[in-house]
Order: sequence, then C-alpha cells, then structure tokens
Amino acid sequence: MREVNEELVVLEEGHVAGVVNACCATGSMAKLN
Amino acid sequence: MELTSYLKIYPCLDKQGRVLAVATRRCAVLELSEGLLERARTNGLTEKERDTLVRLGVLVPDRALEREEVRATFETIGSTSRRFAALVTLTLECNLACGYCFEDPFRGRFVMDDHTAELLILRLKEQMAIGRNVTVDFYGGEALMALPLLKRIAGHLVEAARELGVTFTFNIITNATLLTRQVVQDLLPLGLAAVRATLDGPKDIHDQQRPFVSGKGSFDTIVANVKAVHDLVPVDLGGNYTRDNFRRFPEMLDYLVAEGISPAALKAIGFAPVMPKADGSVSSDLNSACASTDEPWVIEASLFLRQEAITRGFPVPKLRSAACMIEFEHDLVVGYDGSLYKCPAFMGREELRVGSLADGVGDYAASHNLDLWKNDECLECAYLPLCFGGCRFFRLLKTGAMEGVDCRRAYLDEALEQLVRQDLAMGKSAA
Repeated sequence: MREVNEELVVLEEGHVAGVVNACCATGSMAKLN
Repeated sequence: MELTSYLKIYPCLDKQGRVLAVATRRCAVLELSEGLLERARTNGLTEKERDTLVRLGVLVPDRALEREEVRATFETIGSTSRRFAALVTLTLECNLACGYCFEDPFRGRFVMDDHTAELLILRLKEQMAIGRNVTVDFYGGEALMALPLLKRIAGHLVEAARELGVTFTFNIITNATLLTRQVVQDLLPLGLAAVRATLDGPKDIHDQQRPFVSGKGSFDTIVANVKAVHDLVPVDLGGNYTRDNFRRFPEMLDYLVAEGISPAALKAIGFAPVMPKADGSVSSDLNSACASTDEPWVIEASLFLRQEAITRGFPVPKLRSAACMIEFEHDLVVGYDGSLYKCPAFMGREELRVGSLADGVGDYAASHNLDLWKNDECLECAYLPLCFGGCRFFRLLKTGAMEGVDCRRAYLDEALEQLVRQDLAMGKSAA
C-alpha cells in the first residue's frame, strides 16, 4: 500500500507482465510459473 | 487524459466519500476520494496524482487508441514474446479412473512413440534456435506413467537450451500418485519447475471421485507424496468440486495442515467445478457438474473456497489479466501422436486439430473463431481484460460451435469486488 496523498492510496500495483494463458481445462497451469 | 474503459468503481462501505477503483488491464487497485475521481474526469488532477493514475492504467491518453491497443493484444504478444509453451501429452494411459475425466471419450493405452518424441524435440529446438525460451507442461493421462520418456525429452531440451543460450523449464500436471521424492530429485536437474497435483476434497469424497483403476482410494498416497516433495518443488494444488460437495473441501485444507504441510510452502491452491467430458457427457454420479461460470452455485463456491484457503494461509492465484490458450500464437497442445491442438479439451476432435509436429500449424483463425470478442460490446466491457471471450470449450459444449463468447459478465458482476477484497486481505496477512 502506498499513499500518494490523503485522497489517493495505491492498494495494489497490479501486473506489468500482460496477459497470461489461463487454461480452464487444465486448471490454469500458466499460474505455475 | 481520460478514464480507461477498463475500470470498475465500487463504494467503500466503511469509508464514506471514498471508492475502490480496479483497473482491469493490469489489475491495479486504488482507494480514491469521490472528489479525486471527479477531478480525474475533468482534468483537475495534480501532476503527481495524474502520473500515478496513468502509470496504473486508470487514466489513458485516448480511449479510442486504448481500444485499438486492446484489440491487438494477442498480435502484440505474438510478435514480441520470446516464449514458447507446449502442453505435451506423453500418454493417454492413467492409473486412476476418475468418473468425470474429460479425456474419457478418447482415453486408452496410447503412448507417444520414439519418432514423435524425436520430432517434438526437434520442433522445440527450432523454437530455441530463434531465441525463444521454452516451457513444457507434461500432461497425460498420467504423465509420470511415461517417466523414462519424460526424462529423455527433458534431458535433450535442457542440454539444447544451454547450448543455445535460452531457458528450458517444465511443469508436470500429475495426479501425484507416482510423485515420489526420488522422482522429483531426478527431475529437478532436467528443468522441473513446478507440479500441479489434484485433491478433490476430504478423503471420502476424493477417494470416490479419484480412485485407482483397481477401485482403491488414492487420497492417502497423494497426500503422502505431496508432503514428501513440497519442500523440493513448488506444488500447485487443484481440486474438482460439485454443487453437492464443495462445502466440505475446507476439511481437506485442515487435514493438510494437520499432516504437517505448511500452507505457505505450497505454490498456490485453487479449486474448479467438475466440467463435462470432452464429448459433453457427464458421469451419472456427478450430475451437478458445471458447464458455465455464471451458474449461481459456481460463483458462490469459487468465492467460498478461495476465502477458506486464504483464511488458512494458503496462497491463491491473484486476480490478473488472462485469456484462453487459443489466443496465444506460441502456445500449443501436442497430442501423444504428434497432432497439434489449441486446447487440451479439443484432443480427439479431428475437426479441431490444427496441424501436426511433422507438418506444422495450419490456419485455425476461422475454425477457432479467433476474433469472437472483437465486437463493440466486448471492447467496451470493463471486464474484457479478465476474460477475452472466456472458455472456448464451454462455448462449444453449450452451442455445439465456437460461436459467440463465453461471457463472464454475470460472474464478474457478482464476484470481482469480492475477489479484489480477498486479494487485499491476503496481501495484508502476508505482510
């Protein structure tokens, strides 16, 4: 968490690395690495 | 500057005048005052505020340009990615007889032969030679029933990667009945990065859903193996639930802890509803299988089980932008016979075969309806980065064709805010 000022707080920066392959059939193996 | 099209705003119920903003392209989460949100809409921000919102994707220079950028997401990934990923089916043989196995319609004693294995190694070396890092997910049947073959393929590839200055790693999707400490120790030098094992809830449920071919339960063997290897290799634990049994899955989590498996030592844990088989049929004793993520019980179950895992300190995959494997040019499924597909659930369907190791990949844009989400409704939907048209297999089951999207709006309307709040709570407990 990072407070920019009292009106704006960053709770989660998120992911820079783009979109992952989230295969429904195998249970989202992309999340392994 | 404009607010991104891919933004969800939720009120902070415990803080009047403040909102939670989720920028779905990178899954950034911010807490803002309503006043600041209004100033963001009217270009009244300070430089520091504006820079932060731009960096996290809440503000964009031009929404029309952003839309075109999103439309080209997978072309951009395809042309810039230095990664190649193959899901390799070593064998369709399995030592378990799970009633719901989606491979049931085409399972059998089919093992990748030497010629196909050599072709696979050759094709993956070609990817390495053009500078791509290669990841293989070994898959089955039960991949570890073909352990010598797995070792041979990985051995060649790890050596080739070293020579060509790229990386090679592999994961194993396994039922974990053969996943001993010795096996893991042997495979680590060959590039083993992680394993995915499956436990379908507490022992009585698991043993009914995932028995050995002999009929004997597999729960104790799997737990013993996970316990023996989880300090050596990252273990991703999955499990398949039905409407009738998902509420009992936390018993299994408690059992793992009691057995000495530290929640934090696992890579991730995540459960999914039992899906219909590849031909659309459902095992008669599992009639509460799921063919859609927007069924109310599935939404309830997914949030409930994620929360139960987090409460016990198990890591769960965080929310992030994701899409079906079909969209990724450099991701392929390799069948045991060298046939190529874009989804493991498509194996055995001749009309969805996209090529072979011998002949390469054909044009599947039309047969797989690649652009199905590139319409105004989807491109203007804040959830698009979390969905990109959803699961093509579900769509195929529902309609008999990959036409139209497997829309996740109903699910995400119900679940996204709770998923985000779960992630935030997990972050706090981890810190």
